[in-house]
Amino acid sequence: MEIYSKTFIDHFMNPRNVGEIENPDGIGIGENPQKSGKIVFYIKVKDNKLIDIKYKVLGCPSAISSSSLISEFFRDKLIENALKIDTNFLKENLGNLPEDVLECAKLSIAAFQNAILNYKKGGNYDN
Amino acid sequence: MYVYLNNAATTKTDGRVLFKMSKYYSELFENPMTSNYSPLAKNVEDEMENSRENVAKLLNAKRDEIYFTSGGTESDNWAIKGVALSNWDKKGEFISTPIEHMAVLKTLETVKKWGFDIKFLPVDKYGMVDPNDLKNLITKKTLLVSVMHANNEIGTIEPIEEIGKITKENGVIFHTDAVQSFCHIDIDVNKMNIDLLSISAHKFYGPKGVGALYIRKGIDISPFMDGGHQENELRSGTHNSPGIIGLGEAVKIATEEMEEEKKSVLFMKKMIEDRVKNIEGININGHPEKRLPNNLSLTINRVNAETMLTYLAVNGIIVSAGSACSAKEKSASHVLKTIGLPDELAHNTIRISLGKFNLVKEIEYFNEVFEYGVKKFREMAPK
Repeated sequence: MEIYSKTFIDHFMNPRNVGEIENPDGIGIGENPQKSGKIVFYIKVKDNKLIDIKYKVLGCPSAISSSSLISEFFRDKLIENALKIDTNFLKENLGNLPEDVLECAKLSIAAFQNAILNYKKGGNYDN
Repeated sequence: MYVYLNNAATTKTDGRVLFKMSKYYSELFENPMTSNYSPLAKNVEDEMENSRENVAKLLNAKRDEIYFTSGGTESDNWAIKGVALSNWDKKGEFISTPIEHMAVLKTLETVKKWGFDIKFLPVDKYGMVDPNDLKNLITKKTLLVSVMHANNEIGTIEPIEEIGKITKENGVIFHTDAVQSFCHIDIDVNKMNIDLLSISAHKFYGPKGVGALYIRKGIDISPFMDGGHQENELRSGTHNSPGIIGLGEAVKIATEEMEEEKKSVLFMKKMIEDRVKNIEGININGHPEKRLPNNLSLTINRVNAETMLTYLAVNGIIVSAGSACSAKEKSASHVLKTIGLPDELAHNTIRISLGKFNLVKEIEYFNEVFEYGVKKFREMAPK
């Protein structure tokens, strides 16, 4: 697959940390129903560090690969670092993402950052 | 393993076609328009006329009713714009369907800008036109009705013969885009009362960049390409002689092998259908019986089509989402939308199109990989 990098395909075919966390500290959703896309991130936080990150994903390949990358990359990292990222982070780590798939990749960042914001608000995800 | 299941997008050129063509690039390269004084050019011209004859025979048309073009898109453009140009002063209306190929839909947009009226026939959930709707829609102002023979995305075969009856009774020109059906299912331009018909060689194991437009004798259609005197003054441009000869060879092969191919692709398609029926939440689009033998359009609940495509491609299997031509577009396919699929389900739809080179063991492999993928991606999806 030449349109995607080896790293991208590796994450896509063998996504890391798929699943849910029981009693998470934060949950975030990124959704685009018109394009059949939905990502839910679950996080556990201790001392301002992300000690567990899991997700469920329905969407295009870039939604899967970027969610997998995020879940692996930010484990044991400070939550503040996670709030700073944008699509450049995905481009740097997943290789040349074609412009037309960036929209879906943005969903994973949104879901992940929503989970952190949700944690900051006290993790009340019924709101 | 490499498994090609995207034959509706294009087919592999048959080796016999390539072999036949190669000579017309090397020693028999001369321009057929110079056949009056060059024996080699005469040979090229004769072989091109054989091609014309092959196409005509399979359509039950006459040899001088076949005009070679650069492919399906040009043929569709010519059919519609050519009739518009012939009726430039009095103007009038065109009737078509919303599920046509873009080569027809975009051309209709152009003739609309030229001042002609465009009307669309509704289609049902299978993408099928009701000929009674045409009876109600057709008026004295109608110049041309364009309804595709078989849909490229969902495989539904339209009631062409009934439509042809109505256009004939009303003295209206009938064009059909037969790009997906020619050389795959039977066509008889006289029985079906077709006046204009588009074909493209690369959809039936011929070369790319060559096609034809059938024009019934007596139909008033203006040239679309101005220039030299080729194709009875109606389609200028130096003949793509190797391509045209390749097209003719592909038609000759299809004439002999079409029934065999139909049986083979139907058998393999049933293998996939039987497997798919055992998986929950997969719907087959298009008409259940009146459909192309090689086409299978599947809507897979809770699996994104691009994800399925990429996963299959990593495993060496090539299929398409919606229609291949719009793969770069992110909006849902106009055909799937028209038959009532919500955007979300249109984005969960893949098209499998089989061909004569597929093998049973490839389909067995596809079935395994596909079923595993559906399970895998559904498990990953949020509730």
